[in-house]
Amino acid sequence: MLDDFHTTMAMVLLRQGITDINTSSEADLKMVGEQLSAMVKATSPKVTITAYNDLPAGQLGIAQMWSGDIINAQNYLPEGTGPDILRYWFPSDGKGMVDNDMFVTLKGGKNPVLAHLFINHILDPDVAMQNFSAIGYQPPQNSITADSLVNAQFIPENLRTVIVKPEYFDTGYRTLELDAANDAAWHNVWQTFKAGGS
Amino acid sequence: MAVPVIAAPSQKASPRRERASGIWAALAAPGIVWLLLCFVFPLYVVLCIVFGQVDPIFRTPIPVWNPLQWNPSQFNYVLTHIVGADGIFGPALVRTAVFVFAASSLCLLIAFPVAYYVARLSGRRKGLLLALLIAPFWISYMMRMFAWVNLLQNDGIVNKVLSFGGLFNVNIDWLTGQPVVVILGLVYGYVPYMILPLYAGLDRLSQPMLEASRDLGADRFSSFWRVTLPLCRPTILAAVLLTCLPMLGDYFTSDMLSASPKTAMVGNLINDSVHAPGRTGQAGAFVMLVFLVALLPMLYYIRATSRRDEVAS
Repeated sequence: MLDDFHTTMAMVLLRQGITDINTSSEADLKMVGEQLSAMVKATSPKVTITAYNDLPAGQLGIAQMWSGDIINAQNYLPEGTGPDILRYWFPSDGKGMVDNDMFVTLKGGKNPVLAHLFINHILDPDVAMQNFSAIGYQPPQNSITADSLVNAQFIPENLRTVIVKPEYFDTGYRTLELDAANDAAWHNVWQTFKAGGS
Repeated sequence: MAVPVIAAPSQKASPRRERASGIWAALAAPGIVWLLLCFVFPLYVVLCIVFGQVDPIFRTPIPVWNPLQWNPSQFNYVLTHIVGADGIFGPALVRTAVFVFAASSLCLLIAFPVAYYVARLSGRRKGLLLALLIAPFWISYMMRMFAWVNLLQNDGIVNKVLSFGGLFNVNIDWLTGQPVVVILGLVYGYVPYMILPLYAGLDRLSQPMLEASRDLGADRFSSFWRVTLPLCRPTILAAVLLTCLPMLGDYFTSDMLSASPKTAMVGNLINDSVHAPGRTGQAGAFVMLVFLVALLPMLYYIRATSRRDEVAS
């Protein structure tokens, strides 16, 4: 399981058919806590952020990962092992968790022109692909599709599902910033889970 | 007949003794300054965070420096969640005590014979053995644990040895929530820290005292049990404390060798609280709890050694 309170707890909510993955419902959060405890008892999972390394190294058989992690996992395969052993599942209807990072320029920033030039540079298709190769997180170029990446042998056919489609942002669920009280409630559940119980 | 009267000595200390006590105070000054800067002041900062406030927007801790304005709510939250229906932290605290007790006991069982042999029986090989004892310190704790992660992987050497090279099908998941693995990891990591102080103490044991016990008719076992071991008691206590106390705050071993809530220790609670917004005060509260628990054996050690010094003098 990912050692991230919002991502993992949201996955539990989705598993139970609750699509509000930023819920403030006490009953929902209580259910999530119970489900997490049940999972620990049933499967003894590792709670880690290093699945991108542990999965290809053979320490894990199945892991909750962001798409960028499985892209990176290709670089951590043992010598002589190809990426054909990796698989990634995401709901085919796009109704899963999607998220993105952002570049922002500050309103009071000292170098706004340079900031814009930098963003333009990052959005250059060649530079974007280099960035993609380095960090594994998919840039927003429309030219980047599953077909183009498989054809370019950037990813193998068995990892086609890794590629985020633009329509996912319409159908998918976003983890949003929680207000202070709700954030504390979520962290209470997560803290109880991480503390291990009896 | 007049009797000569010798005047009683003046109660005022001689100038030489006054200068000597001033020198001793000056010599102690660096240690006192170090203690104030590196222990007392940081501890006060922790208290100011534990009993301080939380920024409502950024959820960062705001230390409150005036004790009269301290707010115990974060500390109370931890205390009220140790036992009872809301006792979410209790299992981790109990687990920590069990892990540390088991690991320290195993460390002592391993370290004492090794230290005894090197200190008293190794003869000409003492220097070489001492160098070998120090060798683990050349490699960082993290790297030594990394090595065990590789060895304990599903296809690691440990499973290969247990399967007798493939003769049996052994597929033990050592690295997923196994308390035994965490305990043995703690032993592996901390046993060098116990061997060296034990060696230092055992090396200083009075040889005439030990020979006297044999001369007076004690056999080997009696001599060890009734003379050697009592003489070693302060050394053993010091060595156990030197190992136990850092173990109490260990989180890295459980993270590396398990990463499971099943083996979470108080160090993991502290680490998780520090990284959660608005919970740094709770992390400080756990630190204070560990500090208070660690203080008790330290006070016993000080009492035991000062009592021994009184008897000796």
